[in-house]
Amino acid sequence: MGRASMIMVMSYSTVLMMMGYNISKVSTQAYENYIGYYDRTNAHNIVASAANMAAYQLYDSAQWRAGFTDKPIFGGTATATITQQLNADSTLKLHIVASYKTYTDTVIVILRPSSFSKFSYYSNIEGNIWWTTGDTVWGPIHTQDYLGVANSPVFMGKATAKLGLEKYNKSATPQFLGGPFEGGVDIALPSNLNQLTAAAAAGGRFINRTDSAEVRITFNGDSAVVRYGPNPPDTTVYLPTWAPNGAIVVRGGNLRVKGNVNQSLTLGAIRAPGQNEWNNTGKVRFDDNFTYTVDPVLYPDSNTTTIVGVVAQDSLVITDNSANDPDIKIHAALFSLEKGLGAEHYNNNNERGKIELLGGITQNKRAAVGTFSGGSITSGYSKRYRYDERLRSIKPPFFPSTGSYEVLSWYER
Amino acid sequence: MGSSTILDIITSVVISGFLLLSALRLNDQANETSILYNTNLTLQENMTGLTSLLEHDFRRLGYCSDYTKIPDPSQAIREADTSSIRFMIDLDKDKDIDSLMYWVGPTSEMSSTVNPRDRVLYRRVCITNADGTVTKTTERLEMGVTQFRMKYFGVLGDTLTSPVAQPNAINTMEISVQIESFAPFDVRYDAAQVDTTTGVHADFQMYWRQIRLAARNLRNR
Repeated sequence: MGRASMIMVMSYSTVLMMMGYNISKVSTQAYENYIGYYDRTNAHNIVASAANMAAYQLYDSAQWRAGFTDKPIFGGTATATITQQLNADSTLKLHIVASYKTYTDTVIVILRPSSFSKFSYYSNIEGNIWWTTGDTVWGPIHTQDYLGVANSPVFMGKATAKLGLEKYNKSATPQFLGGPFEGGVDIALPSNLNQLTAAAAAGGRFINRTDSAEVRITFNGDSAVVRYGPNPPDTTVYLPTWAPNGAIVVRGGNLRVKGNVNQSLTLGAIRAPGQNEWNNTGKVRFDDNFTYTVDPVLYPDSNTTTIVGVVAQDSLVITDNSANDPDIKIHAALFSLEKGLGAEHYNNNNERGKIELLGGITQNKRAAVGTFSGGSITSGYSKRYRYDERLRSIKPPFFPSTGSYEVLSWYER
Repeated sequence: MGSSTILDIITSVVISGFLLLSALRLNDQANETSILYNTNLTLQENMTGLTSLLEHDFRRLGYCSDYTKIPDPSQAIREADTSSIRFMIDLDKDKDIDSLMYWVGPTSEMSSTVNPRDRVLYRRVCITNADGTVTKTTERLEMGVTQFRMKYFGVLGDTLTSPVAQPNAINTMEISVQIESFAPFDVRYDAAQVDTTTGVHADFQMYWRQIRLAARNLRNR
């Protein structure tokens, strides 16, 4: 009886121990499952934090390439490496790997030098301008001034301003549909155009005028007729060999352009050392329509990547001539370092139609292109500015850079 | 066989009876505990699997390995509603933009389960192939999802009304997921078994919420 009881108790205990073991095992598995998720999340938080830290370093110092190795963060470590990629955009690849216990996670960020060409509208000085109801701005907009808004203008792209937002009155309700409006963002114009000039001298076309004379270029697809000065002779050039890297700069004179282009170019005019604005140089003048050979808006299926920039140290001027009356078409990202885009004799009581711009404008200060009375144009031009959406992802060669990097893509594993 | 022997037998029968009852009760409790623990483990595994998938997808919202294909990432969210979302993503990193959509079906689709509240969570992937054709795949995630709720916030942290008329106004999102077991143990789905402070039954429900999820690619450039 005693032995049987012992066997029964021992058997029963064994069964209970096995059940207890199984329950404990399931409980442990559930716990491990939770811990595993927690550890993976921690590894991800570490790599995301490290990526933010590295991106901030690059934002703070565009030359930073050191990265970091096994940087301790939240109980784990992170390593960041930066590699320059050999492509047209000169992109940087930021590769961050973080470890936490047995888990690793990765973030890959692609950045590129931010170009002024991405802006649909940029100004250094806004003056007494109010964006109001009926104004819809497509693409990124930035000003180093206050962004003045009245009533309800719509900003479809990212809107930033160094000095912040200024409302005409309390009822102003601007619509920011491209992300939050950011004040305090400082994107200053460069102090010079040396980068473009150096590129033109190195692998493009650098035209040094010592006589303040104009250079006239009439584009025709991949070729152009160039006239140095007001009179012939004319020289026909093949653009891919005449300016292989796409940078064409006139120094010490003005550049006059017209025609159509199927090569990616940046055209520039700068003053010579010792010249100032009274020398009347460093201007680009549009003598007639200046367009892409294939209009990317009319032919979106062409997937054309031809992109043109026009850069002036002084001003961008629409010439007062019969070719530009009525209407002028300009396809380019425009840049005026010291002034802006204006029309010659804009207030001579001659109504000249409209400016059809496909691209974007970066200018120091808004310049006049016409005068208006009661909402109707009385002289000069009315404006039809359309943002070239391709400028979000591609830029004209050597177009002035903002000096900092922008994130193109952020990959989290 | 005296009276003392009979007393011994009666006593041993009584003690054996007590032991047997205890053993049966212990067995019941062990069974219940085992089922509860297993259910909990299954719920946890389902939840971590589901949240890992959601985190994987939502972190890449607006990402394309060829950045020129998605020039304005703020347009990446195409539709946004309380229990559904569709957005652009390069899911297979092949430099083509794909689209991904999540939505939940009605409870009637899961009538075969005892749980009256569970639903199918759908995940539709539209992969753009190299030749431009699109391959659509719809996955049925039958993991006992009883709630899949999306909430959207604007740039100032204000809640956007769903369905969101202009998805590019979305700055951050909140994702809430609740899953429950397909069948209860001992009929314990009733409200009396639910914790009144959390609203969650620890044994059969699990809740996950990602607050203020800001997909990094939405605000690029």
